[in-house]
Amino acid sequence: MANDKLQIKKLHALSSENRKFDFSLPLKHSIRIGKREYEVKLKSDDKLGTYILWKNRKYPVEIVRSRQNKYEILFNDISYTFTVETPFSLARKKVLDSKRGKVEQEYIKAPMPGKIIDVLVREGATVLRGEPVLILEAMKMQNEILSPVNGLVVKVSARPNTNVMKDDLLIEIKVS
Amino acid sequence: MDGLLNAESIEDVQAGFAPDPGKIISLNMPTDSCVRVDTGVQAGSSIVASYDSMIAKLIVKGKDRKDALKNCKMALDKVWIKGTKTTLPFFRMLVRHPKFQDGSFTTAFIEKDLEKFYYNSEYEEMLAAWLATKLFVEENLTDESINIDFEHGKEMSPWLLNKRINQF
Repeated sequence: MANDKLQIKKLHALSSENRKFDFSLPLKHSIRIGKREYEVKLKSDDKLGTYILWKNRKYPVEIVRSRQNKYEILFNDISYTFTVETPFSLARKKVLDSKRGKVEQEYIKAPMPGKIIDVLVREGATVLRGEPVLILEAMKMQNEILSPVNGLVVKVSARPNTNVMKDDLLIEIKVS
Repeated sequence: MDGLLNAESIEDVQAGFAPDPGKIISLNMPTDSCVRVDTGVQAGSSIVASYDSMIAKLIVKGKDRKDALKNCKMALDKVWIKGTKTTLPFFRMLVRHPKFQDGSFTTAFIEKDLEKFYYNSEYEEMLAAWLATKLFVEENLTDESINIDFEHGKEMSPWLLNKRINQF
């Protein structure tokens, strides 16, 4: 019976910094600040593209990526990533997160397309957090790519003088 | 008269100013008389990784520094560039910074005085969260046939079940 069905009453948007925004369903087209509700409108036109109208101001928005319940949104030129959870999936996520240990393997990927100028570490080398591991050239600038962790280099896929695309896997480090 | 100069470039301020090459989908610039816009790009222009990342300069005038800053804030809010990330959030923060406003900054300003490299008003993240939630509702909960019972897991459609499984 459709009417007996327990409906989802709430959704939670979790930011990548773990801030939680709660919205009750059906989703209202307004956001409450203090005692007042301010109408939110999602609009689109030829000149400006998609934008949000809120408190008499237009904010440009772009949906950069959406995969399953994960949304990357560019809002007024700043990117935000949210996972949208139902009360049920949020509870499950908490259980899964508590069981999952710390990250064991770190994958260093190309932050932008460019050319590998030099690889500074070899397989088997130990690296410290913040240590440069390779140099990537893009837009006439040479950028040092730093290791985000302490660990052991297990695989080096990057080769000097080769071009890489954004998000290409460069180096794998086993976290110690 | 006082003037201020801004150079918009396609760099991701949230990723340590890494260039973000791509195609400009749309471009809107302020047309006020106090703003001069120097740019070589337009909607449809591609910005490739092998070239410079600067795409536009804004030269903003005012009666005095305060007036120029006010015009600058207004001008920066009117610049809309879609398709690639730009240094706009950085400049929006800069024109609001007290040290930049009173002119007491030094060359070490960026390293020493800035805690955050971009500006967003208090409610922008909440509005973005609302949009993500709206998209989720539209994709998953609007069609009656897939408005299923998450709480009891009874009427889980195969399509949605598959979707949930792939998540982990």
